Amino acid sequence: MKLRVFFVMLIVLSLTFSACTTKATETPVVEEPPTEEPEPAKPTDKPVVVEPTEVPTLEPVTLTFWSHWAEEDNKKAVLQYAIDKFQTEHPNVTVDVTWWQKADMFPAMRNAFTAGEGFPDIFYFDRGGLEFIDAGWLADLTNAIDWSEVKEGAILGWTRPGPDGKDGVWAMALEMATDEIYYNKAMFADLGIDVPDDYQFTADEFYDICVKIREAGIDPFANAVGDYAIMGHYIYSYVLLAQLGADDLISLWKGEKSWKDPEVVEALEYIQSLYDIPVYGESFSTMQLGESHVYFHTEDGAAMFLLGSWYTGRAFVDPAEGGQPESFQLGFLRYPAMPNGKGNDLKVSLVSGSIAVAEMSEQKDLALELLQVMASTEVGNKWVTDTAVATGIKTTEVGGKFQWYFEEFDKTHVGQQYANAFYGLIMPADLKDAFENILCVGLPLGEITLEDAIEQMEEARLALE
Amino acid sequence: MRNQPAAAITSYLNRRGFVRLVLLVPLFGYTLFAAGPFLWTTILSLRKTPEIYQNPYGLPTTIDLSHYLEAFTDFGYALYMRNSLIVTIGALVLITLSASMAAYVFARARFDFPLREPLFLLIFLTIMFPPQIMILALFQILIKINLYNTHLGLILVYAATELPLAIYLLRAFYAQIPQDIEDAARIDGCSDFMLFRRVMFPIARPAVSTVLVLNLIRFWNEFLYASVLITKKEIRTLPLAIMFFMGEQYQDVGMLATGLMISSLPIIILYIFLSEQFIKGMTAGALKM
Amino acid sequence: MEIKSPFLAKEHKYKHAKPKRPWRTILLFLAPTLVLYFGLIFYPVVRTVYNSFHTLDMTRGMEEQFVGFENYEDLFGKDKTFKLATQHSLIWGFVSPFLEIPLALILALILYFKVPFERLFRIAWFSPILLSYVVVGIVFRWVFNNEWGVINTILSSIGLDALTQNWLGTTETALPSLIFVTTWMFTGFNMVILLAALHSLPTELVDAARVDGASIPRMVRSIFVPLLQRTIASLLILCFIGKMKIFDLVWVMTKGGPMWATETVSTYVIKRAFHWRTLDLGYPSAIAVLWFIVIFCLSLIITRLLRRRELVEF
Repeated sequence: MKLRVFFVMLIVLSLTFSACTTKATETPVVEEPPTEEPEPAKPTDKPVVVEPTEVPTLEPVTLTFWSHWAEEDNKKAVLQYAIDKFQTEHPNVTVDVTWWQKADMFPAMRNAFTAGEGFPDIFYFDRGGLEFIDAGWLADLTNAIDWSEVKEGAILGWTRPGPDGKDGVWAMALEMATDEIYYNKAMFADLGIDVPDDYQFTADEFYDICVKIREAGIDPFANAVGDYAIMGHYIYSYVLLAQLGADDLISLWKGEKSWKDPEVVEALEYIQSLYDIPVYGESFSTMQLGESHVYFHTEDGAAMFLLGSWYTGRAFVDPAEGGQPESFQLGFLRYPAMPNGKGNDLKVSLVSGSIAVAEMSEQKDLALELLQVMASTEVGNKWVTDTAVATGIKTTEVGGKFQWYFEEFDKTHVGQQYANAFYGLIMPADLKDAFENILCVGLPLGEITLEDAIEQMEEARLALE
Repeated sequence: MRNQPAAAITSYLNRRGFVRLVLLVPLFGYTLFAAGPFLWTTILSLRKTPEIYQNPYGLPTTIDLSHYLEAFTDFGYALYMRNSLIVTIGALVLITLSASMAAYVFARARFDFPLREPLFLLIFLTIMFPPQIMILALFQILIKINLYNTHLGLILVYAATELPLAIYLLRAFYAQIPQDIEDAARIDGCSDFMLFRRVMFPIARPAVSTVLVLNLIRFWNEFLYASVLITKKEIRTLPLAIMFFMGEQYQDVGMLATGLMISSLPIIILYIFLSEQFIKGMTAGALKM
Repeated sequence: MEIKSPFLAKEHKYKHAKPKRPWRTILLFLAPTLVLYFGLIFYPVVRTVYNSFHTLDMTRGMEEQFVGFENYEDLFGKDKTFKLATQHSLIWGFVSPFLEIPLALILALILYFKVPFERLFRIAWFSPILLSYVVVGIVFRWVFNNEWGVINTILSSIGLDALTQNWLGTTETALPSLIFVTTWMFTGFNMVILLAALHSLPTELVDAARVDGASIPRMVRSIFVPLLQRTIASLLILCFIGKMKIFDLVWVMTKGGPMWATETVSTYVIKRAFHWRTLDLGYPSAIAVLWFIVIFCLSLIITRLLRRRELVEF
């Protein structure tokens, strides 16, 4: 008898929710992005919009858009702005957005593309999914949109051979990130640490300031690998880059150079000396990326934060939503210079968060139009002003309320050269797994000695065929 | 059927009232241990996040239901819940009927056929299959038969993966029903199907309850298959909702706690009202293990 | 179990000596099961075994290339992560029954002996199993949190500051922490089943023992445990098999880290299938097949051991 009651309850519940869901499947609530620009963007050449072929009756169409940046409100706002603009021009089109964490999004996309259905028409893409290009899942954008408002560098960053061997352009670089050391100016002042004029400490000096910070009971680095092992890579990538220079570093990443090479070992020993201070906090292995932002700028738990310039996506929002406090003084440092280093003036830059279109999409034309809306100076300006992250789109004004940020950035990086040496794109999969687990997570945790770590990395390298 | 514990034991303990009282302390301790985490989550979902960071263990100063409202309006929880309901109920119906019918045939002597035992063993052995052994191929198969990203696909997969255990439990139960009942019905002119529907299936209600309860919990909470076999927003189930929720609320513990509550509440509520049924259901059929 | 009824005396409805096998009924009743089973279980398993001898390129619509035993060779010879993952899964599977079942038995006995608030206890102690692994994972991430988690807070407040640590972030304590969580989840479930088994025992035995002057511990040892052997054995096997399969909990809490300390075969298979850059389904299929063989053999061994003492019947 009670079982019947139970079933009736379930059926009633499901009917109730069926009624509710009509609300949920409508377009998500339009957020008004916080605008503090003093004057509107100066109109430049209007982008040439690809005219759609006239459809006699405008049937409602849904365009599916998947994007990363679920927790970066200011970037979401810029995208939403572009979507809204697109939708006013195409009233019959509904853009269905899903915000993801990319660690979950990429596997889902991979499955959907393999299945040939359930995939998004237009989506966030970065260089962590290069195999998607080889698989033929991305549309070649070379002649599909008007690139007049996108920087050369951004187009080049995405030019590579496609599945048939011919070069193509595969995505539009909305975000171009560089790797930084952010530091807490007030904290450095309190501790009596002076930053050199060229913003670069030598290796020994850097070691000394880390010791000083640690003795004051503060973590030198806010980094933590709770959800992304990649947060542990910065110290390696830049110490090794400074030590070896771009070409040798690339050959190390590829598995060609030995991990027992004396220059490599010297660099790793320096890093080990930092770990002995220690430079990371107690929660290094469990704190998550978002949390470490707050740890750095709100809780004053650490003096420095090593990560990409997409820091601003989470930090430059309203403090009530987890952004950095008004009073926080953010500064930039260069990565330390190694004695006899060949790459002390190098910096890695890459196209990061970009937008791509699915080759198999049934609404490819519409998706391309949405992309075109995004690939415009208007959106580029908004991006830079609201998120303070560099963009691949040509911009006419830089700054707005983050003017100070760009000025600091420029001052810090005078004279630096850019290298294309990000390990994530170059390392073979098995070596990458070993690198992340052993070096990025294990060694700083003290779970393994340096000799063992080098042994294991070498083993992993030799196991590649 | 619960017997009274032996009179001897009870009288023995009654003479040691003090012992029993002292025993209660660790028992309440264990109760706190078992129910504590979830109660804590409930409290967290009713507080504002800044408060929580100040004092993670305090009681709510005001009961704040805004998180819940936000979850339903901004994050489309209603949709996810509807999908979970569809998939769970569908799979429950499918597995209960299929497993009962099959168990009936496996159990009764009348239906013996060569290879019946080996077939049953074959089906039963799949309890040992880790889901991973099947998920890759299931992915391929569902694509081929066009059931990828559909409710039906997920319903079929859920029912199929829990079939072996259900059949095992039900078969044990059917086997010990006395032959006379069956014979009497057949003498009265029942066809096999009527016999099953009117007589055998109702008798197996305890075991059917076990199957229902076990699988209700399993299907409602299932995450792995859902995450691989579903990508379209309209089809997503509740466990996936938590994943998305987590992605957006990295620091907002209050909101996260709310998300967890919403996913768990339906079963918890059912449990509170029907706890006797749950427990009885779990054990009645399982006793034959 | 099986009641083989003599097929003569009662079947006077039939004219023949041998009753016809009611094939139509058999097939009809078995049909849904057979379709589901062969379509969605048997075939995938066979397919996975087949896949394990190939490399399967997810990109080109699943193009396959026969590679013979190469996947297995790589697995045995070169895959250190697999060895670690296997160890962890096995530890989990073997240790858990020894934690869950004795505790469950104690709790069941306590409830059996009529304590006050029995109903409240039963409801509370059973409840952990109702939550999904994902929910449990997230909540226990907070419980084990290094800064403000329950465990560290309790330890500091009773003065055991020295013991506070990053439970999920240290290789030595990560797996034990996960085992702690599954014990928390499943003890109540085991308890409920044992309790029902207890209630179905004949009370005369206990009364007789009491009359003979046996103490409670003695009774537990000589009466309850022997009589409950079958149930305990079944719970043991289910517990073992269940822990071999766990995925969601590890994924949500540690994703196999730190430094592979909680990597299990299930997480490793998923990582290789869906998160590796090489989009190949063949190698993870080999892992899955090998793993199944391991579980199967172990279950067989355990069952044999238990069957020899006539505890388990199939």
